Amino acid sequence: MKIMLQLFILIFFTLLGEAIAMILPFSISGSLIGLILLFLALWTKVLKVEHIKDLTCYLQKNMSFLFVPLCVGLIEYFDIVRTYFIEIFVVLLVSTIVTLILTALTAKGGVKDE
Amino acid sequence: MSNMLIYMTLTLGIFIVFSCIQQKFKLTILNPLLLTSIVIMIILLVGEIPYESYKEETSFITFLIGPATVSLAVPLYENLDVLKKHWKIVLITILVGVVGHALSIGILSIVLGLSDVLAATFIPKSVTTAIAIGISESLGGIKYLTVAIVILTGIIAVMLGPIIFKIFKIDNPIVRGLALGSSRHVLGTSKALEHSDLDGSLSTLSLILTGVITDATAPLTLEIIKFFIK
Repeated sequence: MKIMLQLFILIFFTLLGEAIAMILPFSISGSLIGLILLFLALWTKVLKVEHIKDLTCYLQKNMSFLFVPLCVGLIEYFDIVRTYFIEIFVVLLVSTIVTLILTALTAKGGVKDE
Repeated sequence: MSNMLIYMTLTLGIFIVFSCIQQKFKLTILNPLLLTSIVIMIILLVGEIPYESYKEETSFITFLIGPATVSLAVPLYENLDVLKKHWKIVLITILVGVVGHALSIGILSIVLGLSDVLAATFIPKSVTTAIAIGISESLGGIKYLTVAIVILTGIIAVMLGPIIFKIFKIDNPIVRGLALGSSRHVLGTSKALEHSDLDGSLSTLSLILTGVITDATAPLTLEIIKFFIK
């Protein structure tokens, strides 16, 4: 019963987010709106963390498993990956490293200032 | 015997095996997500099973990404005090991350002569998967390649993060959480959650704001890149 209620709350907010995302004139992800709404519900004390704590911990600890079926989808794009392998590899590696270094250094500088 | 039962058992079983292997050897390169996906791709290729059929039968797993993303509101709320205290550095770091990422994608697209379709595929690279799919679709990118690229970005950042932190002597959980979150997505955040809740909370915040800002600026970014490609 407890886990069902937790699942209901999370799915309800996901649905709410998706529904609002459909109405909004600009493109924004439904789960992002759901996240913000759930945050507001917690913030305004409409919901308590205990109401969803167990399932939340469980989902977040096992989050990377949820991406397996999507990751397997790469199988459909072997041709493109083969043709542009070097380009994709370079963009992936360089932009990830650049962003990581930029944010790390910015944050480091900011922490020193505080 | 249903295909769903077979695919779910296989996916879960292989993932558990690789998770145990990673826990034993503690090597990031032994990423259970990456390795499980590769093994399943091999199984699909050898068994001549169409991806569509695997995708449909495992749609329950993919379905949970939405609620899991929504549930990130909890660590965010639980660390609200930390966020209030550090909101300036959080905002500045995220803005630098979003602009720096867009610039690096733009410059690389121009230098390597990528098509605008590939550029559109790459723009949401550092955003959480669920949001990235939407951005890629609306920009006319290849949705599935975006998904794979987002996941690979996460894996690269998880693997290189600790090395970069070591080189630049970063041991502050605030800096770690921010850097992981804004250069990546849910994968990065779930990794940060393993360190401490402070990491996770800051990663979550930068994930949300990075998602919102990237979503809002993506069409403009693509237009600028398109202008220079031509």
